Amino acid sequence: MGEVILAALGNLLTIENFIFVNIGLFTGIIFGAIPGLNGNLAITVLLPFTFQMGTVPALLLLAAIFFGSNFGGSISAILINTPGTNAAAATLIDGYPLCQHGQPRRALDMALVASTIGGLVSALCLLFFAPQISKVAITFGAPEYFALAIFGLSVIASVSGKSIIKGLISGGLGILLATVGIDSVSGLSRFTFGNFRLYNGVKMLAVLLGVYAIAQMIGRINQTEPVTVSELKDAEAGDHITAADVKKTLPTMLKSAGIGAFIGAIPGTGGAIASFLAYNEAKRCAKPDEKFGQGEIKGIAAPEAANNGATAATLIPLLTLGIPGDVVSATLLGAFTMHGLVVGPKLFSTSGPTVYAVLIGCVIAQVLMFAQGKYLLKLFVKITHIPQDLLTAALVVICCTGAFAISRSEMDVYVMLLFGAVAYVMQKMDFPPVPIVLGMVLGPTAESNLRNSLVMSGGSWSIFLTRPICLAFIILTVVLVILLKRGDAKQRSATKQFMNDEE
Amino acid sequence: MKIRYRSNAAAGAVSIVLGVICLILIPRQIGEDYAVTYGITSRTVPYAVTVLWIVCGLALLVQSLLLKKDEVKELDLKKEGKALAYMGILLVYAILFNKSFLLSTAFLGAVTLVFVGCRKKLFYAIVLALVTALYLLFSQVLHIQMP
Repeated sequence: MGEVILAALGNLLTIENFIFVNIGLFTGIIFGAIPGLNGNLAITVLLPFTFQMGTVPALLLLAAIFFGSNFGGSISAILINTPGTNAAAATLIDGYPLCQHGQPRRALDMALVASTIGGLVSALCLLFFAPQISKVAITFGAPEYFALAIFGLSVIASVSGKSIIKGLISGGLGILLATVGIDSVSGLSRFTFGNFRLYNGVKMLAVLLGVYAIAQMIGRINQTEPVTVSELKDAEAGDHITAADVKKTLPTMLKSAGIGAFIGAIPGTGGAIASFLAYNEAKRCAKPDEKFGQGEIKGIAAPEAANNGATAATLIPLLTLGIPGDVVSATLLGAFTMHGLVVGPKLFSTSGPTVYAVLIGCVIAQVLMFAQGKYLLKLFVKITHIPQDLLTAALVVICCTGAFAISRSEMDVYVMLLFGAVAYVMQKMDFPPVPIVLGMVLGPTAESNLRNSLVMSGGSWSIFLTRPICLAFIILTVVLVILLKRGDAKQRSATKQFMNDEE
Repeated sequence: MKIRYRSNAAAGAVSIVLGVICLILIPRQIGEDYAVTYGITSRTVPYAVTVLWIVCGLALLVQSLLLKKDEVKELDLKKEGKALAYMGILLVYAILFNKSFLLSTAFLGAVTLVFVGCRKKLFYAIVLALVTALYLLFSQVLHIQMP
């Protein structure tokens, strides 16, 4: 173990990694701060550009984008009452009023401190708990993997937005897309239409670029409303967070970070749910003089610590079980795979030094995020003024180049453009895009392990009920679906209540 | 001109149509397994998805037509026509891509700026410079052969 950590530190402590983590954080904060852009879009767009990089700097760059975007989301939430990311929705309840009271810098500083503490707690949880879980998971066989994939697919229940039925249809599309190419078990070709370039299947990243980037850009073509980014004001100098503020909010931050890390580790949840839960908890424990909803500093600390507390923790199920808990994890799964790391129970035993380097790097990234936030905040606020029309054209161009770079094939560009158009049409009928990714990632795992399990049992389906871990996952799947729907309803009612209060 | 449609009804109809198309395609696109498969063949998952689509499509239609649980949406044809035209541009780009990355991508970047109503010449210059920089980065630094 000590040798692995030493090797990991050797992989990690390089100038190259330091630079790329900072680039990732910088990019993430900007993408998080501009309404309409988000961390996942940044990761998706930049992923093809990491192919030529080493595994550790590439993964650290992408993870840093994820962390940075969560903090970046709070900038627009506080300054213009528009959350840059879903996870920052709870931050604006008190962040914007505090800004209106003439203390934008204090609000942003509080968000930064809380984000850093939340991120640190989360990254430490990832560092210490992920290897322990993987030790248990390494005993899994094909039936357990099948049950695990079904457990992961149950996340569709929470990421389907208004309609689970539409989520299932989207998930089905992802599963079907993953079947394109040569079937690894039978060797038969599926949906290749005689085109040899489809024998290797459809690249997930090309679909991701289409669904998340190109569809969004087509949507921007239609945007006629004035874009709110231009309303961003510079943070005024002079109002700063005080030591008393930090002392007062520290217990709230630690508690909220714990809530965030716990919620984040459950697949299908993520920062938005965690931040609302933490906000409610802070409000429940409020003293009489703490006026939540009117610029209370704890009202910023709680959601920010929680949503950043959820970030690294969402990687726990991804790295240990191979289950992407949310869309960013699904994209990062693609990144791990493309860099030759097979996420899941065997990850720590097969790629220990690399994985530990990334995990320790996640902890260091939080500290660097604090430094960037502290010294570059004014710059971030200014950069978010970039005109949307220039940004749209630039992103389209970068996506097309990136798609070609996936496997140096124009087929990936065609797939990206096709799925951009498909996803745009799907948006018009409220089909959620996230289940497509989940289906593409988990469909093949479920299929191949189902077939292997039935070979093991001689065709008996009872194998899934007689193995304890398998049965546990099946029960967990049912429980998770019920809990996710309840949590979803709670989050919606909290958002609705907030909207009503605002009116 | 605006078109009103029911979100669930439209989604249900599309899902059923896709399901039926797949039902027709599967036997033509996927061969039969002759090995021992215990009931799970290369066609099983695609068929399962097809059935899922048809069942979900029917459920959405029932929700919309019988239970009246639906949302009426509006399509602004002027706006959507613009999106459709842009998709046409993407198709042109796909055709041109093979000929020259540099020219086709510069064309796409410039047309995108036109579509978003940009009149600043500086932005066109920035996008063209970006395309050139990306081309040089990939072809000269990363040694990726671009079309």
